[in-house]
Amino acid sequence: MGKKKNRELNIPEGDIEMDMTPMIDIVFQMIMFFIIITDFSQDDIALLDLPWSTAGEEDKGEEESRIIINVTAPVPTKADPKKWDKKLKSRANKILVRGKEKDFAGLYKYLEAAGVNNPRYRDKERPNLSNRSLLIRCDGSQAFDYVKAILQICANPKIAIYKIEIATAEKATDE
Amino acid sequence: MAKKSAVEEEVKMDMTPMIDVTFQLLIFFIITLKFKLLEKKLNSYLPTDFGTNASPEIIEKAFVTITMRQKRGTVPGGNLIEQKTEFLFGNEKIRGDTTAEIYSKILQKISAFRAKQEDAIGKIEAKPGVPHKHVVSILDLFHKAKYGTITFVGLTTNKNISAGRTWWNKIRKKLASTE
Repeated sequence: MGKKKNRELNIPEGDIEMDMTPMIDIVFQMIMFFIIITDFSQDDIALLDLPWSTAGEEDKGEEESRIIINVTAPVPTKADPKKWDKKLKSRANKILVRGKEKDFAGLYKYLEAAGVNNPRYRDKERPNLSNRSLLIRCDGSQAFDYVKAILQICANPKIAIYKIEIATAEKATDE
Repeated sequence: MAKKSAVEEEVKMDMTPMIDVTFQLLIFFIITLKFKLLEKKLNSYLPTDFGTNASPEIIEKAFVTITMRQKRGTVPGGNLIEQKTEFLFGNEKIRGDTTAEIYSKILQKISAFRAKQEDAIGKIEAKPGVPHKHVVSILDLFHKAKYGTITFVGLTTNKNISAGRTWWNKIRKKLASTE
């Protein structure tokens, strides 16, 4: 009965092979969709030349709520013409939080909302302090004044972020 | 007869479910992927006794101060100007041909001081414009010399900080009044 039906439908006798093409098409479409919507950009981590230290601990980055502040390199001096680059110049002297540029006023506002004022990040034992940690990733050639200014903002009682981490490199990159 | 049955029993493996599962796994790992940071960090704690809980200033402790300041100089063989960092141990200027040599001299001095005073406190004073890498290196040296407490001197007075300079001057005064 089956053979008769096949003959009527002009289907050749023998094994029926499944056409894999549509399935593979769909799978690839799905892969492409997920690749496109996935945000691979690591906004938190700017490309910097970090200072070298031997005392540094390995950064496992386990704390999800950690704030990361990036400070980019200064404008290259004329004494260093090889480093003179328009792209470098446009990227210089910037404070970046999650890829967004902030000035000190903006950073103060951001940390004010993210620090001790936020009940979610208030230390249970010492409610006048924030239990959040803050990682400062500052380019080695940038002035320490930036780091000092960030430390001063963090030390403000309205922010009270006292767990500070300073990012360093694993090996010497200069000198 | 035996040959015929062997041909009949030949089993073809269906690869489709395996490919399905492989793609599912691939998608799962792509989505959950997190890049590891190959960096190190220096942990520190800011003073938490501000405001009404402020503790009295420590006077009896012995401090070792390393001061850094930027100085302009000319590049050898040219008229170009470059910034150089000077290092001072107390009031004494540390000289050396290379930064490594200066660091090694500083390490000797702070280690000698630490040997005399076990509870010595390291102080780092970075004048405006001093590169961050030098401050981290001095922190490193204090750590090598086994100093328990290291402090930074003073508020920043760098007028060259471009981001929100006017605002910063205001906030600096505010912060100074709360300390």
